[in-house]
Amino acid sequence: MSQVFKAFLKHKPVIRRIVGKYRSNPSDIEELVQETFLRAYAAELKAEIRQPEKFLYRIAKNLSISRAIRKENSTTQFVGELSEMEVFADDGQVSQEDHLDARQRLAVFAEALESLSPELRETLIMRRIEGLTVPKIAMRLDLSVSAIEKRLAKAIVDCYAYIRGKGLDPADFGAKKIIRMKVASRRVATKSDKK
Amino acid sequence: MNNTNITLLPRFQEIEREAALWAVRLDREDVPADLFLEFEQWRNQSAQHREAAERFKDFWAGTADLDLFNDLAGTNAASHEGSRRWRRFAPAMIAASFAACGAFVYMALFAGAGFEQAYRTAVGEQQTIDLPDGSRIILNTNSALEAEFTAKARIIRLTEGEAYFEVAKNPTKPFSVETEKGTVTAVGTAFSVRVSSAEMNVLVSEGRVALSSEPLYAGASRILSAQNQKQPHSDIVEVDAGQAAVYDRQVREIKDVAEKEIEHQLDWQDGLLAFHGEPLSEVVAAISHYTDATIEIADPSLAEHRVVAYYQVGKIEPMLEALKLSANVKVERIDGRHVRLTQED
Repeated sequence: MSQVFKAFLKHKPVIRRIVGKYRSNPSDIEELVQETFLRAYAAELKAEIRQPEKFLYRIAKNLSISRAIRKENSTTQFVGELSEMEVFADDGQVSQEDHLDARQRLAVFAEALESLSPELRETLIMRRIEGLTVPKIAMRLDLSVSAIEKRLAKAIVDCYAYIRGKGLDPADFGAKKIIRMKVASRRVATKSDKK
Repeated sequence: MNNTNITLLPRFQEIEREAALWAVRLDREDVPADLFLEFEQWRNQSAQHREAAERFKDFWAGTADLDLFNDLAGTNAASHEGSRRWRRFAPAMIAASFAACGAFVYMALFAGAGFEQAYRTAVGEQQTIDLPDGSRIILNTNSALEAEFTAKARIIRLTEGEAYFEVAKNPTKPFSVETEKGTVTAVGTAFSVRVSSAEMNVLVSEGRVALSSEPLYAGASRILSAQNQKQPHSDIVEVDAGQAAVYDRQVREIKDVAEKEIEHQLDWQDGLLAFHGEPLSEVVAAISHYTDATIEIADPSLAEHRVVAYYQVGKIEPMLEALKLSANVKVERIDGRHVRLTQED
């Protein structure tokens, strides 16, 4: 199991407190807490993290500060582009929501990955995150191509079951739904605009 | 729960496991024709098989999203924890995180920054282009385009061939595809454009685009303001998701396209040519886009022959081989540039 994931589950209240120094809106705080986890988890996929909780705290702090700076910058930008922004106001809101949805999906994918057996997780990470082809993975793990294919198939069946077990619809994590959801939310925004 | 459900369950799970395995097995660059035929046979056993195949193909494709962790690992907050392993990935990650910058970050950091690049594919070649705003273009065979990003607009000039666009939303920078026959403007959506000497074909798979004879990018806000007043600009025509348009300085045709048909028409993006019972003449016309060779159907009775098959785009030899297998056609090579198809006897 991922050390970052373990540390995150254990020290979530501390992380929330760190972010809370810079933010007061509860949904902002939750978003930053989630983003902190995702970034730390992503880093751990590339390298061993020796002190996962300290690492999480540092990301939480850096992220809170850099987001505050970004917020200032983008506010300045809006003033300059205001005339155009009005016309497209709905789209702007939706694109932020999409971004959130994407992050939430990724967080669930991370949990699903953590629910897999070590060899299934390793294989899926090699294929989807390191971007290796099946024959390359087979060579690296000294297994047959068909064994790797079976592992990957089992990995997605298990991820699928994990997502379903959480009461979520696995179709929301499929490639098509991801695009379709964005369009749907945009349509809703446009419709309410016309009323 | 009734008994029927309980007895069906093990078989259902087995089908799901097999569907997952097919999704993984078919996700490679050079799928042999016989593997596809095997898959088609498996898939066509029942509606349940077909449904599971679709579901797991989609779910497997969705797991490609895990790639986002690469972008996340490349962000500043994490980069202090440097290591040998990380550095190996760094260049790719920096490139990836640049591409992944959302509209807001993009505006704040790169407002005014220009971007200009030309792309061309040879016959039989396809190229996926990731643009700095997060948009993606898949350029089909024998096509050419130029991308130019300014402070105000994202402009693509499609000078030849066909391309599919997935546009990252940016409310302040409309995305326009200009061709000789007209311009397609979008804010954030997915569509494909094919241009020929006769016309421009637009297929919208997600969202909505605006067609116009002249470029709109200087005032893309016209699209929406015109719409709000409920009297569309005379020259602007809107095309919605699920519609296809034929355009040549003005609309020739707009029609609704069934979802299945859209997927089918966009199969080429996956590097696949899929046929679901089209006559051989159409199949040959489609394959011809991907090769310099001339393919002739010598036997008129063959032209109407129905074909169900998947072909890997770009490799003409395996395509012909698959044609031989799936359509019972004899393939004769006159010379390097000329192929003749006759009835197998």
